[in-house]
Amino acid sequence: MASSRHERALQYLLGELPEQEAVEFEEQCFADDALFEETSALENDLIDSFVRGELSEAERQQFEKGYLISPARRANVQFSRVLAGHLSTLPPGEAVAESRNPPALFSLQVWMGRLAWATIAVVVTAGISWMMLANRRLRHELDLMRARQAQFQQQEQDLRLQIAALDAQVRQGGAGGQVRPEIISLILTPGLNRSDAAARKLVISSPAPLVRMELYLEQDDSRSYRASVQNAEGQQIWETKDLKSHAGPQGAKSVTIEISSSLLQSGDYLVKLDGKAANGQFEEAEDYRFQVVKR
Amino acid sequence: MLDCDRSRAAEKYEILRRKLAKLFERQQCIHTEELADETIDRLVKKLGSEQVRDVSLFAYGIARNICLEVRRKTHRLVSIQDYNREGLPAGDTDPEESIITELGNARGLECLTKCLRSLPLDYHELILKYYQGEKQVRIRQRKELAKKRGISIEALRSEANAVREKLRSCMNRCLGKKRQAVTSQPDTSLMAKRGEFGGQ
Repeated sequence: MASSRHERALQYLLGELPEQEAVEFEEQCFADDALFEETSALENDLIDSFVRGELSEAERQQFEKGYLISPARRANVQFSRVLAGHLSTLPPGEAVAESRNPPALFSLQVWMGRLAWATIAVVVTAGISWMMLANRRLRHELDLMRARQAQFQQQEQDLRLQIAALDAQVRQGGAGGQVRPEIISLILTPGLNRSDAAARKLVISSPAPLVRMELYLEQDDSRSYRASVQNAEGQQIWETKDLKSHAGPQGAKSVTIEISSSLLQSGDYLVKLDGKAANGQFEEAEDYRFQVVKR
Repeated sequence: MLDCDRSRAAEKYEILRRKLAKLFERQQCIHTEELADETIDRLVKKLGSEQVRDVSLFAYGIARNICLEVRRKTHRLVSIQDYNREGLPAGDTDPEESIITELGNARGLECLTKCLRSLPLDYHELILKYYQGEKQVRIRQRKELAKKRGISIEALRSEANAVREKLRSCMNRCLGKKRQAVTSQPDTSLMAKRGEFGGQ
């Protein structure tokens, strides 16, 4: 029975009933609210199925031919299309919440979401601010380092210039007393007599050179030594103590003394080297002779 | 009287108006809702002077006469050369066609959203859940919805039809169709007229 009503309602909507039967069906709908509601629901479902593409090809053609006969019905279809389109954009179960903004304003979920976003925004803002400050500080430090580097480079440049100037002065021989005095080295061996002094000739051309003498030892029996220099007249012109022997390049022991050339004049000289005995007394160890020629 | 109970009478009034509008739709009339209102106006006048056994069937008869009148009037005033494709006099804009056009653009969606929000929350939930999803999903959801509301499927269907009609009318108004907002807010004169409807 219900199926028969349903089938007849469908035929009515699709314009498949003869006009007289259609009028009779309309009268029944006016007299029977339930039938009218059933027919209205069927009409809405039919329209929805049409706009959602759920009708078969034959049903679709019948719908277009028999139902879409008036602008008002086409407006119903268009309304259904807009409604279906809107519903399809809403996730199932969230349709009401999604489409009703005013109640959503007060929902805990929405406020929690907004709070989360606000927190993220604050954290991001704080992070960006901190990075900007750190970046500014690093730039400042970088500028300072660059300034220091430039300063060091300038100092290095100045030093190079000074070194170059000093080198030039040294080469020209005009150090003016500020340059380390030249050292003239002289190696003396013991046991030479006066006639052999000329063999150890020391030529001094600079104003005040320092004379370094290596006094070789035949025997190194003492813990320390005392050296003295005498001129040809036997006059002692210089003396030093607490000298230590040391090994030379070939393993021979020697004692080194340095004496200003200003003390030396042209002539013969004697270097006496005394060794300090265990009792603290000095005993004669070696004699050395050399000749000075001043120019 | 449609019904002794005021709220029940209002429901019956709504149903009658929908029935009339659907009749005019099938009869390919334009201004279907205005014609429904005209039918009710004439019905009210008749009820004051005649004894009516079935108000709905009586209204149906009036509506068919109005439909014939409209057709005769249109044929008499406008020559066949002046008719456009839909049988309308040239220069006369069909409101349903305007609505179809408006519904197809962004304004249609805007109006739908606005009208959905204007519905009571209960109706809003009903219209969305009743029509959302694929065919099988809709069937299942409707059963759940009826169970949740403690009503039969038939009662739920009637509610959904009524709410859908309210929504459609709201959209028509939103889209600029000029007519009285009878469906969603019956005016006091029409409400008063309900009391004049004869018993069935």
